[in-house]
Amino acid sequence: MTMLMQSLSISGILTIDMHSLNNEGAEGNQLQTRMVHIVDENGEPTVVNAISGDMLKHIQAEHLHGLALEKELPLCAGCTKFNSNRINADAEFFKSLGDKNAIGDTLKKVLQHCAVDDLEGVLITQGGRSTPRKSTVEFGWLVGVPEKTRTESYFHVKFDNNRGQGSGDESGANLGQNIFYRPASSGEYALVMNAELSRVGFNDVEREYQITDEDRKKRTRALLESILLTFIRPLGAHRNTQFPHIVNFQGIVTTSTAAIPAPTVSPLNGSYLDEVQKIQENLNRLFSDAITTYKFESQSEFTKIMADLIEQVR
Amino acid sequence: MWLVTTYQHTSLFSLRNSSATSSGGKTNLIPTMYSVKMALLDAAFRMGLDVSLEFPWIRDLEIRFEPPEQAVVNNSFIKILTEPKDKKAGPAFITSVGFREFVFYDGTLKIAVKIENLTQNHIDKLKLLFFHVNYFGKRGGFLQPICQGIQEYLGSTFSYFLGENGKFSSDVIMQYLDDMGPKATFPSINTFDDTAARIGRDRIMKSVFVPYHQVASSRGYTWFKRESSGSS
Repeated sequence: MTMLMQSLSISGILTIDMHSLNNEGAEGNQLQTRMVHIVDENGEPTVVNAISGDMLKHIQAEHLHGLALEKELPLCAGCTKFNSNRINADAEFFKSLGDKNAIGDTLKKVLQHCAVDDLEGVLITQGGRSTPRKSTVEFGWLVGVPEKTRTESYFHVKFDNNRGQGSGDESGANLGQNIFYRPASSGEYALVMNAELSRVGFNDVEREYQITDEDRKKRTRALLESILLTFIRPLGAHRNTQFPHIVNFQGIVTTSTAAIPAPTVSPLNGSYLDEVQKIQENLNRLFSDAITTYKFESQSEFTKIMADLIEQVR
Repeated sequence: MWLVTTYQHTSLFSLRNSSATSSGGKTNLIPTMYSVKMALLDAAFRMGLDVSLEFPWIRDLEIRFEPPEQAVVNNSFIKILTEPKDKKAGPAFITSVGFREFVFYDGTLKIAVKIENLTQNHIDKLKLLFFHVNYFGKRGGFLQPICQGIQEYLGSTFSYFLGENGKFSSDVIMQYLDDMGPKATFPSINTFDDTAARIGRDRIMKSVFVPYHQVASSRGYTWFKRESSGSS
C-alpha cells in the first residue's frame, strides 16, 4: 500500500449561520443551546456558543456509515443499522467468538469483522470482557470566536386552527397549539481535529495490521471522505427547519509521514496559521521533513486539498 | 535540572478525577503524572521502541506542572452510553446523561521532568517522546508541543507535593492526582493485560498543590488564575 500519510490534522475557522446543531437541554418551552466559558485574547472571560466534539464525531460517523454501505465495506449487524452499540449489538458475532478469548484475538476479529468499529472505536464488555478499540479519528470542541458569534432565541408556534379549548393538551398527547422558543447561533467557529491514518486496521495489542493492504486503502479513503463530508454537509440537531448556512471555511490541513502527530493550533489564537507553519519548520528540523501543510481560504479549496490527499491513498 | 516541555492547548481539556463516577465526571485542573507517563509509553510504542524495556525509567520520572495562566472549567451535561443495571437482558449499552467538566486554558502548559538521575540516552529519548504527545486525558483535548528547554530550578508557578520544601506559591488549590508507584509493573499498567493495577502499589494518589486561585464561579463555570511566571 502506497500511503505516506501517518496522520492528518485540520485547524480552521468554520463560518456557520442560523444553526442549532447542539443543544444541552430544555427548561419549560425554552430550548437551551450549548454555551461554554472561555478566555478571550485580552484575558477576559467570555461565554460563547459551541458544538461538542461528540456531535462532530457523530456527524462524521454518520457520513462514514453511508460511505461504508455504498462501498460495501464489511459491517457488523449493529453498524449496518447505525446502532450506537455497534458490534455489541451483533449477537451472531459474539456467538462465533466463543467464551474465552485473549484480548488481542478479540480485537483482531473485531477489526476484520467491521470497518466502522475499526475506524470509530468501540468498548466491548460482554462476557466479562473489557476490550477497547480506540477511535482513529478525534474532534475537539467547535468553539465560537468571541465577538464574532451571536446566539438568539426565537419564538415559534405550532399553530392549531381549532384552538377553542385553549393551548396544549392535558393528556400529554402532542395535540393543540403550542408555543416554544428555539435558539439559533451564527458566527465563526474554531475547529481542530486529527485522524490517525496509520492505525486503520491496526491491532494495538498485537502491534500488527489485521486486514490486507487493499482493505486498509479502502477504509482509509472512506475515513478521509467522511471527514471531508463533515464540513460539506453538517448533520446534527434541528436541520429540518434550521439547516445551517455554511458561509466559509478557512484554515490549514497538516499531514505527517512519521509517528509524530500532524500539528494543530486552536484558531481562537488569531495568528494560528503562522503558528502552525513555525511549528512545521521546527518539527521538520527534528523529523526530516515529516510535516506538510496546506492552507485553504474557502470550502472549495479545502475540498480540493482533501480530494488530492484522498487520491494519494493508492 | 529539569527538562521543560511547553504545550499549547488547541482544544478543551478534560481528565476525570479518579474518584469521579461515570455520571458525575468532575475533571482535574491539570493532567496527572500517571496520564503523562501513559502518554509517553503510548508515544514510545508509536516510535517503535520496546516499551517493556523503557517502562522502568519512565515509571520513575518525577514530574511537575506549570498550568496555563488562566483556566475556565465549564460545567455541562452530555449524552453518554452506559451499561444497563440488568446486564444480561437488553442491549450492552443504553443512552443516558452525564455531568462532564471541560477546561478552557488561556496560556501554555509546561511539563517539567527531573533529569538529574537519567542517563543521556534516556534524556534524548524523553525529548523526542514529548514531541509525540498530542493529548492527555479525554481524546480530542488536543495540545501541541511548541518548545523544549532545560531549567536548573522551577519557579513558584509550578505545582508541588504536600510536604515538599522550597519556594512555592501560597495561592494554591489542592488536587489528588495519580502517579505510578515505584513497584508498578508493566503488565499492571497495561490496559490490554488482565493484571489489575492495584491502588497504593501500582497506582498511588499524591496531594498536589496547583498554583491557582479561584476568581469567579457561577452555575455554568469556575474561573481560575495563577500568578504570572515573571513574578516568581
